Amino acid sequence: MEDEQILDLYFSRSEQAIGETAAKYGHYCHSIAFHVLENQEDAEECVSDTWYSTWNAIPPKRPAPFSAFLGRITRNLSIDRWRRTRAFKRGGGQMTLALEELAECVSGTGSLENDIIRRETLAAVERFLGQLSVAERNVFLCRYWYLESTQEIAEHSGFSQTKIRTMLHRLRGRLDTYLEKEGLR
Amino acid sequence: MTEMELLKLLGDIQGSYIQQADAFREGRLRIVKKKRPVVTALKILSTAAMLAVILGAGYLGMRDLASKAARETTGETMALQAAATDEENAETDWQRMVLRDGIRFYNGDFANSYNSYTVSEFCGVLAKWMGTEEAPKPARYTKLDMDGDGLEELVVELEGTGDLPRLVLGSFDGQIKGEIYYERQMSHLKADGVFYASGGIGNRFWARLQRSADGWTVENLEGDYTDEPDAVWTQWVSLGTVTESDATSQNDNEKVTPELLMREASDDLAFWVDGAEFAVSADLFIGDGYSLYIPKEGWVHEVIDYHGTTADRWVCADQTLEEFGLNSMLDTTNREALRKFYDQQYPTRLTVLFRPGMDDQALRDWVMEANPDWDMTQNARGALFANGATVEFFRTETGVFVCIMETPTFGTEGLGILGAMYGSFSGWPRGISGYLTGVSDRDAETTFMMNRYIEAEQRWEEYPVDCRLYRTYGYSTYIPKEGVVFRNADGEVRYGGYAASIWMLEKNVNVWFAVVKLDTTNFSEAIQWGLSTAGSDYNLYEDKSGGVSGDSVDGTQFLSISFQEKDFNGIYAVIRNYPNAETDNLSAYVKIMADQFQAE
Repeated sequence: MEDEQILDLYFSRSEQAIGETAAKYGHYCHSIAFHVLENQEDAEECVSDTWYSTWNAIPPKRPAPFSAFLGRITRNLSIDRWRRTRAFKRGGGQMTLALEELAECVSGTGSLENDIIRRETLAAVERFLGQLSVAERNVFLCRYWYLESTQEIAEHSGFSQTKIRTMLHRLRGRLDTYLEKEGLR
Repeated sequence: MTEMELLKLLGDIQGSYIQQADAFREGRLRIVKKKRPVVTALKILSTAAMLAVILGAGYLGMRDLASKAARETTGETMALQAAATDEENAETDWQRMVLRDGIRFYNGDFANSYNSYTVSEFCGVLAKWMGTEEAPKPARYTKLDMDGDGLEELVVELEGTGDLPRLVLGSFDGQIKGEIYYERQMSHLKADGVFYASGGIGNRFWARLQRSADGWTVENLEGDYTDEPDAVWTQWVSLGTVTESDATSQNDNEKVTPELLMREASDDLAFWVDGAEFAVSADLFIGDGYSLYIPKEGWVHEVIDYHGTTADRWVCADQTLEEFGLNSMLDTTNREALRKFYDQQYPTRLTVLFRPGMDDQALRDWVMEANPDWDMTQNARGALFANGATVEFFRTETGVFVCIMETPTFGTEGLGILGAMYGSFSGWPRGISGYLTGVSDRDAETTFMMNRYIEAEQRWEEYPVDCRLYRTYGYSTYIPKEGVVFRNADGEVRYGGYAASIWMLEKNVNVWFAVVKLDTTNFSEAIQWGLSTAGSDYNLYEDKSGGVSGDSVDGTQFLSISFQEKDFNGIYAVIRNYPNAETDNLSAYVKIMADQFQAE
């Protein structure tokens, strides 16, 4: 079913909307949640929460692209869940590794609670992403948006893992410099 | 900002980036073909303008661009410098001008005395002499030292009706002279200028040209040059005969549709000229493994042999030659005239080709070796830049697409549209059947787990060997990335009377792997060849695989020769040799190369 038809179902408050969404984007959302949580049950619960949040958000929203909207909700819910549960767990996971890597690009102080600063920072990050080549941007987002491992990125990009790691290292350096220059680090 | 805040912030970036990245995860490199936003067009403009300045500066000998730019060199000064360069080019690049009808040459084959012709005029005279209606035209050419004097001659092959001769042109004290040679007089042209000739029934011999005061004579040679490398020909696009229909993109990949590629069948290409944005209508061209948009008008598509690799090429047909000199270089300092002059010398064209399984640097080396006239520099992205040429690389799962943009020295317009065409380039998504036939099932790089025996510790050890796909005409195999030397890099290697490709281990050169293409299709003959090549130094026996293998007489070496047939066109001998002492160690490297060999 086309996204527009699914959205029409939400607008008509038909519960079939959730079924169609799950059929079309269930795997996609589960993949996002699992990369963050690395736990099958937690990921499934997060995906269920995504359908619930979507049901509440539409209408009035009519998101486009729909997939990115769903992915964003899943990712946010997964990260929140990860933060809640990490106190009971130890060690690695892509989430921990990604945070360690991103620590290179931030000061670790201050806060984005101020909405204006947050928007400004988001705009700067988008400008930064806009300056990258398509391949660089995709690799960066696979790592820090989808939280994929370098091995996974290497598998579907055709690049070697070494190249991915090198590319990410350089991109983090560039982001650090960019945010520093913008006074947003 | 904390790292967690940054991670969460990324969650709110624009949806199109997320979609693109998702497509990337699935192996679809680009899923959305958006009309180029102004910011991208601006990038094209700035890149175009910068490159044009660099190209212009480089061509005019202004190596230090920054300091020269600061001096605000006047157009007149530039023109004078350019005119001086013209004279140099007249000596070194007359071949290109002859092909473009920019220089006349003398020929005495059709009259009692020498007459001067352009190539087009010569083709007209030839047609008249042969009694054919349609004049032949240049099909391809090669530049070779035909007479051993250290200077390159130009050999032009014609296409058209009838038994057409080859035209050999050379410079004689500044005058260009041409002579014709028919197939029986000159065939099997080799890279060093040697050719096969016939002096009558039963009198065939290898020969080369001998330069005299006003032409050439044919000199018989001793020996057999059959296995010498052939001359490399370059396809010639005859701009003068372009028709509107020729300019329309064609392709053979009918099964692959724009819908399958998620691209529009037609779109606009946006680029900048003199500060203004232009858009031209373009059609999607679907090549083998890639697609890109080509302007609907003014571009000629040709499939060419680019230094041994099949390539798609588009040449801008909007170039004329009306105003320029015959057998003389341009005598003007008019900047506009010079600009047009250089536009003719450097055709605006885009060439796309695919090189499988090579590492990036080897590929760049190959491009540079193929174009020794280009003084190339490499930027941080890995693209190559030279006077009049830009080379971009586009990696796929199985190899690299090479996009070569050639543009006039002053041709900002040419570069602009070329940049837009290249900007629309995209590899096919995964999963389309027929994707790069013959390579789709082999990864560009892979790792094999091998075992070796650690003598000192009396134990076996598993270890990874990272390999890259090596693919050449007729076969492919995996070659370890480290510790292996391609012996042919130092020159041709022969084994058992045939040209061979040989890889040796750095640690021990007695551990080697080789591939030889035999000219027989008979396995019994192949086995006999193997036995006779090994000679009395080895005791070889026919093994289960149908090949031969065995130890050396002194028991120190092991040799194995297996055979694979290729389309009834010959048999490949796949050979591995190593000291018996390396059976449990370095032999693993040659085992990988031999086991992974595939005739294609």
